[in-house]
Amino acid sequence: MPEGSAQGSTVAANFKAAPAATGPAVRASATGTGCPPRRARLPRGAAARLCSRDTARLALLVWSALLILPARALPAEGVLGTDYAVVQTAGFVGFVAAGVGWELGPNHEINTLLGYVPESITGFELWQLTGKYEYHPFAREGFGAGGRTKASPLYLGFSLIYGHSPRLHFGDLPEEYPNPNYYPETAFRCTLNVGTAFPLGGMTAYAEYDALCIGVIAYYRAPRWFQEHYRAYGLEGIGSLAFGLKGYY
Amino acid sequence: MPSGRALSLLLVLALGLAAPSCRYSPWETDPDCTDKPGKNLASLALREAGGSDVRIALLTDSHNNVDRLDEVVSWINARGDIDFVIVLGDITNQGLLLEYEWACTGLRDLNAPRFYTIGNHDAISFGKEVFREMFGPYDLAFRFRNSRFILYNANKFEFSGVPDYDFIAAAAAVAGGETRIHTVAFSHVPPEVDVYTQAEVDFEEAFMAANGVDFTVHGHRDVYSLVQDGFGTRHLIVPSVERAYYSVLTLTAGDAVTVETCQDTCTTRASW
Repeated sequence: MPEGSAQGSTVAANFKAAPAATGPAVRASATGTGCPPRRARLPRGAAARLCSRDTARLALLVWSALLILPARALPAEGVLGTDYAVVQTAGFVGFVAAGVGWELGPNHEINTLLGYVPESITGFELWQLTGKYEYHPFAREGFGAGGRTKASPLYLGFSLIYGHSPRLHFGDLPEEYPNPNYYPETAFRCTLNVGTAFPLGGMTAYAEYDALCIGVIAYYRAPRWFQEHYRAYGLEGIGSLAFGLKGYY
Repeated sequence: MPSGRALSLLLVLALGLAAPSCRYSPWETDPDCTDKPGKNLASLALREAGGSDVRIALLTDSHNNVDRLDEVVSWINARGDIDFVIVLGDITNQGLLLEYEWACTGLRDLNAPRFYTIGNHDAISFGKEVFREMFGPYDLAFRFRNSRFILYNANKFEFSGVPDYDFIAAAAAVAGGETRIHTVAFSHVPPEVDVYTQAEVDFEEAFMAANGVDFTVHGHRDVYSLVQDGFGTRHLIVPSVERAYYSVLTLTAGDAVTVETCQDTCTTRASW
């Protein structure tokens, strides 16, 4: 009992010596053990406000387009047999995420994204790896000039997101836990996605609504509660918008 | 395919107008909903002169069951006799921001002031940071109608150096000239062998008795229990919101205590 013993000796001295509670009726202290101090960050809610502005969204898309330009310079066959390069912002995959994808026939795609979340948004710098599957039942190719593009008015998808941090658990728990199944894995999260894709300047732009799987479960159990407390039939409470660009080779 | 492109643009517009929030990671820590002690203590101060007894609603272990939480909140609001509410932790399963947002949003529907202890589930992932941003410090003490209420963090697996016994000792101490009726300590994890070792249990029991804590209140176990340790201190565990329960603790100015477990109606479980 190392913690208890160490504290015990300190506390024993304080049994009688502890100062009496005087002054204001309220005393509060934060026991911040286990939490590194947070560094400079945006004011609370600033990220959400930023995201809610259409002009900011446009800026993010332009920024994403700039990021994708080097990918368009790749050989036509792509590396590792890839069919396109992709960048995305939001939708739980990162402030910005970039990667490559494969077309599996006319209606199916998979892609993988490496995402970055700066500490100005979450309080911690975090890298994430995402695998996405998309089903495009209405996809048509060959639109626009200057590149192979795709139009897909409505598609469905699924993402598996891995967060890389010592604070997130994958595999065995730390030894202080009584059994390895004390908690489920915390390093993986999944989302269910619905989106639309359209040609834009020789590339394919897409917008998605991505719902966290735990949110889908909670919504399924209590749809009325979500509808009463959040916008968009309650879907605001369980998911996020996402915007991205794909450059097909 | 102009019609397809028009449909796409329409869907983008609809998405943007209907659900304008973007989230960049499942592990974000910056909450939209907050319910910190300052506002609740100010609200509680306004109730100070409203009576002599103290009636506290206890909620614990809702674990994302927002419908059950909503039901319990509506029962508590319908009573109209609760002075304040203590939420004993495990409002989430994975300590994720979205889970916290649901609980915070639901709990802010309560008419009475609210105070929070962090649960072990709330502290995993980046939940420690979310809790602090949303609800404030892990340890909190306040006085109301001549009784002292101490909320402390006892999640030994997720934090090092807890409980903060120096904090508890200072918070429990009676000032010169102070009239004190009850001193009650609240944490999510009870002092039982599991999270605690037997030696830690023995120490905490002795510590609480030595510092004048009348009894302690906890969640974590989901079902009701009340035990009295060798020093005479009672340790109350209240049933979970997940099982559609809340509990009511009534402290009288005459030093009596009553415990009820409630759904739409209440059952008296203990009094002393």
